[in-house]
Amino acid sequence: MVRRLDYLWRLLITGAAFLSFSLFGFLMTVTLFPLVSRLSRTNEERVNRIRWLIHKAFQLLIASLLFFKVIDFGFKGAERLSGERGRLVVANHPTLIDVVLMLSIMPQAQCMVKHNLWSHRFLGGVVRAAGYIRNDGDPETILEACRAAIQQGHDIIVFPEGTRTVPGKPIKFQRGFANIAAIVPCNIQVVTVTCSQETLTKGSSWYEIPKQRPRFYISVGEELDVKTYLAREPRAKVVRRLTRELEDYYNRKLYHG
Amino acid sequence: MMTKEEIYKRLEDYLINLFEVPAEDIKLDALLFDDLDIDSIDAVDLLVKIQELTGRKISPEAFKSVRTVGDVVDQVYALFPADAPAKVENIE
Repeated sequence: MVRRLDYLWRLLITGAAFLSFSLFGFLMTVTLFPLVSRLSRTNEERVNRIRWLIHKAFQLLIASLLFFKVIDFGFKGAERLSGERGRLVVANHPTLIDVVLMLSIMPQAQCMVKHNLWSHRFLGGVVRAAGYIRNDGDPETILEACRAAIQQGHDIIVFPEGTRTVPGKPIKFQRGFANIAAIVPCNIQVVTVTCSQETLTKGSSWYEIPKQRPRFYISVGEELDVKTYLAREPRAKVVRRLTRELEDYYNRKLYHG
Repeated sequence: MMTKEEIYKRLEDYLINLFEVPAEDIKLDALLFDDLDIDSIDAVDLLVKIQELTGRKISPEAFKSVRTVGDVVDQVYALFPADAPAKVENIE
């Protein structure tokens, strides 16, 4: 009985969370963001403020989910993410809210975002206003945006799988992230996201919640010094090495303890 | 002046050693982007390598139409005017 009640409670809150996610996103787009735009002198100032607002909104969302006991959340090495230093932050992507969890502790991070969010009815305005990077742009545009972010000292969040991880399947990375790190060049900060239950995975609906409260865990791993890699090998080889090394790293971490 | 065979050999060498393409996948009709897993950033590197090899400038625009290994060989070959022996600079 208690379990059943707990399940229904989590279902209710999850629904409310999804609803408010879109609703708040839309409301911020039509109220706060235009106001910020008017009060900002430069484009840089504007997107930084808007990203900070997104960061605060996500903090509130995570705090509510914790408060209502819908999720549990652990963090290892958070302080190394919150101090942004112009790195490429690479993470696996098991669930829909990984990026919400990460942005809740990163105040002004740049993000590489899937192109179809640009036309999303409620969130399109948010990703546009925040000046995030579309993942389907031509390589020059993407590189230029990444260079700018790194120069301004922001971290860039990238999910090299390009989409959410399929549970149980080996991690396969696209090379784009390594190309960025090697060309800009910038360091790679490795982050691993795990969740005790399968939830909010690719292709699942919001109401398919797990039997028990899921516990998310974000662990900030090592920072790869890309310049040392580049000193040893030509760029094309470094890119392939980084891609392979990180695929192995995540597969070891996720599937072999 | 390089023969098409020489150009192919050199290209094969780049693909194997620089872009880690398995030797058995390299054929004249192999598609660079689909079959050999070369991306557009690699293509820029390849272009630079070819410029080093031939000592001539290739416009990135012209290189965009390149699809297969054979296309690259033809493009590079076309850089050498008939008869006139070109100065081949070979910078590794």
